[in-house]
Amino acid sequence: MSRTGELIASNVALVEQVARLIRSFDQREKARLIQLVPELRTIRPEEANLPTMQEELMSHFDSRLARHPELRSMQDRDLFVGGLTVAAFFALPEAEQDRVWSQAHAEAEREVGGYEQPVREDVLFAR
Amino acid sequence: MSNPSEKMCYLLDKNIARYAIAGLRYGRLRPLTREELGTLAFWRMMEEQNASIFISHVSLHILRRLVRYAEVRALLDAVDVLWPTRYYTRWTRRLQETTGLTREDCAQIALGSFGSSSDGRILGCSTWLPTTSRSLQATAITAMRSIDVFMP
Repeated sequence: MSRTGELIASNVALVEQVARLIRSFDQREKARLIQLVPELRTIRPEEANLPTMQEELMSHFDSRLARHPELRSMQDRDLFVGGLTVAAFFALPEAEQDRVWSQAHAEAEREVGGYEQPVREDVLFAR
Repeated sequence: MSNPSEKMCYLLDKNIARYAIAGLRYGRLRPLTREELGTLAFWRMMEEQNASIFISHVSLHILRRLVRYAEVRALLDAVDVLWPTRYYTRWTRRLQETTGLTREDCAQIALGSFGSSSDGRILGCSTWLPTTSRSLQATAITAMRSIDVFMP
């Protein structure tokens, strides 16, 4: 199993352990749990199921993500672009993500601007 | 300079690179958006067709700073880079003068015509410029058709 697959499997096992623990709670303890984790009220389980096509695609890309074991996946607190963390950037509305991403490209364009690569005599035109 | 490349070549719009990274990051955590899902499906299809996928040299400049993340490295492993060649800057400026697009969008279109692969063996990309922006797609097609007029 890939590293990503192992992480997913360990998370699934952890959730099942927590579920067993919660089932052992009395009503008062369960009510306290909802007070402490209010977002539980807003979750609709059917939305947590991933579409089959997405599951298949992710299985395809798991091996790509595991190809460099020295690298790790992005975490919410990691820096991304525009001085934003991964969580902050991807929580932005689409138009705002587009704006920040475009701004990063505009700055990068200024940094690399002016470079022109010579063309080989035997260059092939793309189809 | 008249032989076509054997492979189909696709230049990814900068936002497609973003959707690919988001798709890899969140694909196991939540249902992906249509754009994220479409990007990953396109990527897999291109691999199956043994096509060449390119990003711009500008996108590379940004992604190099993020290459410590597995999602970014996976994308960089799958793509080559189109580097600007002669006429790129002039064509970018001409497009900017004649379209309502931003400089970055015009530069992307110009790169699709006057960019070469890292090894310098391929010039330009196919007429496809995968992007979710319809105005960018339309302008890219028009621009590619009018290159003959522009070329000295």
